[in-house]
Amino acid sequence: MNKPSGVNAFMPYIERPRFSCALGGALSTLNSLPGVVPVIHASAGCGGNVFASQQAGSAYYGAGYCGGLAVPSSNVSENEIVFGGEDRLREQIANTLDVVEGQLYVVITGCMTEIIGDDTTGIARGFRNQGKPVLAVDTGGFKGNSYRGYDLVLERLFSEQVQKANEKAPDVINLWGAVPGQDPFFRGDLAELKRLLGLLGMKANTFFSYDETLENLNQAGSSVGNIVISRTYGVEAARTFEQVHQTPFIAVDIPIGPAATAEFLRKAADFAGINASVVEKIIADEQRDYYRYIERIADVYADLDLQHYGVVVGNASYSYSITRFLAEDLGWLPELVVITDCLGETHKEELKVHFGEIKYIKTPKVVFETDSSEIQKHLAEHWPLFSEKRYFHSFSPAFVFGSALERDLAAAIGAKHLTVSFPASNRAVLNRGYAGFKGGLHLIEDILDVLVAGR
Amino acid sequence: MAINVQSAEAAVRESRLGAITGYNGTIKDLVSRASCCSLKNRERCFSQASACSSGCAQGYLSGIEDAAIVNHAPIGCAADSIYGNTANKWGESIRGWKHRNINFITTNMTEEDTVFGAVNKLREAVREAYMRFKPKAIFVTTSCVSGIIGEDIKSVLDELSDEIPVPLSPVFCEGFKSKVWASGFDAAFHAILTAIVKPPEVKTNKVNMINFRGGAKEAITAILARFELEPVFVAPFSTVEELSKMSESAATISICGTLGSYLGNGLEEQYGVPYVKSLQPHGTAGMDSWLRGLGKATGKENEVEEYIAEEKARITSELAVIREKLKGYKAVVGMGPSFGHNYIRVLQELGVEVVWGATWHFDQHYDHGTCPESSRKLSDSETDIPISVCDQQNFELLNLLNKLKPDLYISRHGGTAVWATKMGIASVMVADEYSAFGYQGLIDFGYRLIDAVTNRSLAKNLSARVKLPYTDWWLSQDGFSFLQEEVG
Repeated sequence: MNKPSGVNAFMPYIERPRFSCALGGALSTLNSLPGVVPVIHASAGCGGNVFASQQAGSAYYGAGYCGGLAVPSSNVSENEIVFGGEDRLREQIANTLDVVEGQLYVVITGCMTEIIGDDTTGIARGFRNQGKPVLAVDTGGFKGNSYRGYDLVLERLFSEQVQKANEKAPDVINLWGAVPGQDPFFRGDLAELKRLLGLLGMKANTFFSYDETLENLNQAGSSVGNIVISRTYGVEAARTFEQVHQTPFIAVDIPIGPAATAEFLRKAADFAGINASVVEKIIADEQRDYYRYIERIADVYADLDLQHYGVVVGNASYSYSITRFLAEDLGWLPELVVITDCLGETHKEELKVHFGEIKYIKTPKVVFETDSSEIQKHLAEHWPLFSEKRYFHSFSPAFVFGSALERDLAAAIGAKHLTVSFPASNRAVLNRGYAGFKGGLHLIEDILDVLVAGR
Repeated sequence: MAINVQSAEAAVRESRLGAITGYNGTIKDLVSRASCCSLKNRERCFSQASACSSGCAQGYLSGIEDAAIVNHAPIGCAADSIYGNTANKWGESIRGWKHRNINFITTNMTEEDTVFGAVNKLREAVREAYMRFKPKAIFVTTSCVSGIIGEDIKSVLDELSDEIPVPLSPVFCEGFKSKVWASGFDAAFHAILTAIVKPPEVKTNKVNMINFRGGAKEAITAILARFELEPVFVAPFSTVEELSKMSESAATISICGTLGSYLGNGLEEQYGVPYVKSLQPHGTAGMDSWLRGLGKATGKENEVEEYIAEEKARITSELAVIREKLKGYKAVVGMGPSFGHNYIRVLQELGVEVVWGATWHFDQHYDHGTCPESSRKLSDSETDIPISVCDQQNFELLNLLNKLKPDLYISRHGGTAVWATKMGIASVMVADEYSAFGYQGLIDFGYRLIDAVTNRSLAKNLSARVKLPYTDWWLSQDGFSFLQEEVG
């Protein structure tokens, strides 16, 4: 099976990683689910350190209900490494049930407790057999990165927590694929897509929205289908869901802006068997509103002559969608796309082909590179940055869409910069999202904020 | 126990300094038992996420301007570098420097590597770090995984030293080896002491100033200039060259007793550079003690006394105003042991009543053999203060705060202050190690506290709407009921 996310065995080394480990991804996923309490079975530093990196990296995402330093953690040390940590874990789970209020407790493991071979799943099953809501997922950090942790947790929840439904509800759909703690805009994105599906008459479970409870996850088996808003993350989990609950899924790009969102709505409507005329009416209404705002901002855009060359750096989902927005909605010229994930070769090829389908532009150069200091080399190979020639068509004006790490690159090539991907330490995100029609407007606002900041 | 530079690694604080992470009692009891070394640790049967040596060691070393870190670990341990980068940016802005990303590479250890080992990846990563960053030194930090599978890091670095012409130093900071994460600072300083510091060629008027980000850089430079001394800010934002000459300095001082013990005493033992063993320079008593220690070590006693008298006269009336305004307010302190015990004194100087002091660990003695000066100072005062030792354990702290209901919670580590805010308690996070530094700093900190208690609307609004994760049962229990009996 093609495992697109988190397979990083072939990366011999990574400079300043843009993700945490499987444990880190599992932790931020669980911390974003209502009523769920994670229990870490690892050394004391794992929970604190992955939180610190997610906090700084995901635009100040915060501890929430039981995250950060409140996460129960067995804090194993030398003694458990030598003699085993199973007794300590049993004690930790039993006391967690008394101390911390939750509807579901999920044990996640670190590298050390997996190497010493603690039977975490068996221990969790023991509690479950006594009627306690405890699950376990092996998330040893060496299993992959945060994205892998997200999939591992969803797979376990879909197979063991989501109840089997005898009947499917035709107007209920599940939607996931934006990764908490990695996608800085996941909440705003999920909310906008949920709003749009609502216009189609669909009730969408996203599991992570503030207006949902754990019941939305528990009852997710009754949905008529699953939409994964990524071709890379959450797809494994969708396959598991399909096997266990016989629910079909589609994996689509996270739609940013009017062109991509119209396509998303058509696909969703088709998938859910909704009449084409219904969806076209909604698209027309939304696009009309969108372009009323654009009409107003077009003045300054034209006066300042704001068409730019673009460099887009980020994960597989977002970098595609940003690039497409720049090309098909904003009329810019994205030249280089850097996908910073660790991906399998087949999946890389699929993504490259997909970039070729973006309209109005010459296909940008797409590279797969985890390391920030290498990105400038890729750009220089694509577009000579310096030349002795008398006439030289320079890469200007340019705009870098990337993480906070790309401030270096932007400064080096004299480009403007907006943080749209992890680590997003120079932004604070609450309910902002770039998905959908509203998200497209937000993205234009943020781009223009950068361009007019000096005025 | 003397600092052993012949050994590949620093002994952890539990064995070297009798450090503990579990205790509940009072400052007088803590110090009297520590002084006769009869304190034993108490483990917990429920615990929460905290920190580890690796995070401390890498975070600290990655601040050195022209060094690089190679982390021999799975990917998550290196995600620390994201926070490291933001902390680095802060120090850069203090200095008005251009931003640069920290030099950091991970070997990305995978499941397979735990079976077959990954010394080849390590070799490649060290070579790559040298090529990419052209560093003046490379520190290779270890991890739980590299430690458990027994990777021979030292041999790899010995081999590579033939082809890479800069110091290559292992930093043994496996998270599981110590419950006292400050052991990671010792691991970092051990690497600096053994691989970077060179024997002195001359003696200088420099003073090694062990600290974190150096927020009071200008102020300290000005103060020391009065004594014809010049600070070298160690180790973040210094260069490998500057660090290599620490043996030539006239003295070593530290902003934090926990942080400074290993390097300060190491330099004194190895190279005769006197380490100032005083209170830390927070508030008036702390600054008096710190400057007098420095004056004694460098023969500047008279100049120091002059300065102290001048500054104290300058702040007297202002301090009285602040003490009047803060009268009647109660505070709980939650910090590392050196900052914690120093800040309790600072709050008392400002007229705030400290109703509880929690520290993340406690060293029964420092590397120079005596119980921490700040702890002794507190225990010598008339009033006894309730004290606990809890490694950032949120459930213990929130249980305490819920019962004590102080006006202020004063913290020092990211991720701790917000919980007091969620309980409706005004919290002040001492992120800058130079908050309350000296006489002027005390006044500034006093005004910070007055501001914090003046408008508590965010805390009040939030606490009315946020559900804490703890059960009513837990909040009604004795906050230390999960501490087990002392073990030897």
